[in-house]
Amino acid sequence: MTSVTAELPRRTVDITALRRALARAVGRVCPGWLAADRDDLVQAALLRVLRKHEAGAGDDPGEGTPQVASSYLHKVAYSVLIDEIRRVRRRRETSLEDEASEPPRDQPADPERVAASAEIGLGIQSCLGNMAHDRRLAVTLHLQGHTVVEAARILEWPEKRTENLVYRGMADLRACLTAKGMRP
Amino acid sequence: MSERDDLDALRHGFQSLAETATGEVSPADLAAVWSAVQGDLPPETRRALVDRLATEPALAEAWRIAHALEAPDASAPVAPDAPAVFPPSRRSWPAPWLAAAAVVILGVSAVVLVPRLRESAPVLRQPGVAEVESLLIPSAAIARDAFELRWTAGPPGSRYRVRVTTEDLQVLAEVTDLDAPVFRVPASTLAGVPAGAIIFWQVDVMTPSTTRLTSPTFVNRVQ
Repeated sequence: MTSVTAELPRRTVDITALRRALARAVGRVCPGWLAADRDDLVQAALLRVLRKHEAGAGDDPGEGTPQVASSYLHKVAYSVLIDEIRRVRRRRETSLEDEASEPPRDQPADPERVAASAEIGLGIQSCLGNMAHDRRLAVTLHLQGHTVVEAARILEWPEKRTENLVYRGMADLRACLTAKGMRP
Repeated sequence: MSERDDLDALRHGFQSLAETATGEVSPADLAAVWSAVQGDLPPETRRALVDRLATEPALAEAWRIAHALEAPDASAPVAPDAPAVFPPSRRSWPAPWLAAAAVVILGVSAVVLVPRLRESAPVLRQPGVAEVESLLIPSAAIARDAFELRWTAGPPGSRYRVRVTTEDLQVLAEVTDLDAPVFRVPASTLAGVPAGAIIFWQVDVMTPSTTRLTSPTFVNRVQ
């Protein structure tokens, strides 16, 4: 039977590396209208992660101890970042309601383009809903930014098969969008 | 428009749906996404989750965030003798993912690394190495009126939290503060679960010195 020990070495948090990871994640997902908030987002998330780490304010007594694992820290960063993005979005929505007569400071530079992108997004969502199951999975990961190799690993399918599914699925998607009168 | 531009536009359109998504992601789904990205979910469950990304923009965004946090940090120094951070037997994803994860971990190498090296036998290999193992046969079917989950014990005084879900990650039972490494899922809880259905369960061990250890996700079936 495995025994579990609590005696792990005490180490400190590498704030620079953590900030880099958070900045990378924010940069990857931060939409254009949040651009002005990127630094604030990273800073707020970093502070919350460190606060949790130092105060042990997580769900469990062990989460805030110095014996915290780096994987745990990334998990905290993940949930904190999602919270922060939601918070900024809520703030922006409130700001838009309160200041309807004034343009918000982080208003998209090209509202028409944003609206067109959103329309295409809805079209894609609709097309995916009608796509063959396996193609849908492969294409969804491709649209999420994954390469064929990554998608194959995530889905645990052979690369050749995944490549074919992405290729055919993307062809389906383009045909479907064209039938809807949409062009990216 | 080049093929690359076309793909970028499609990706941007798909990902921009999160900006106006109204639905929020439940804590259980957030945890599932994290587990999937870590390679802790069985392939069929991971695929089911990917399928949901197609129609749930907020979930898709959570997936992207989780992946971004686990992606290799190009600016992080890479040590030539990088330790094997993740146990190969636990990770079902091949080596490049492990390498990528290892680079990330190295990037935050000053953070405590809880050694999770798993070897063939469930024994303590070195100081600080800890594992939580299921004592059930993986994927074995268990009678619904005797659905008893057992796992390896922590040090004396440890407390346990167990979460039991269906294949589609609906929480069936969640208990905290157990003082023994065993939990019997009430038959009434499993009443609506069809025979042969997959059940996932995971254990958190809280040791007396407040270290928390989380098990991999274990899989069994209801008889």
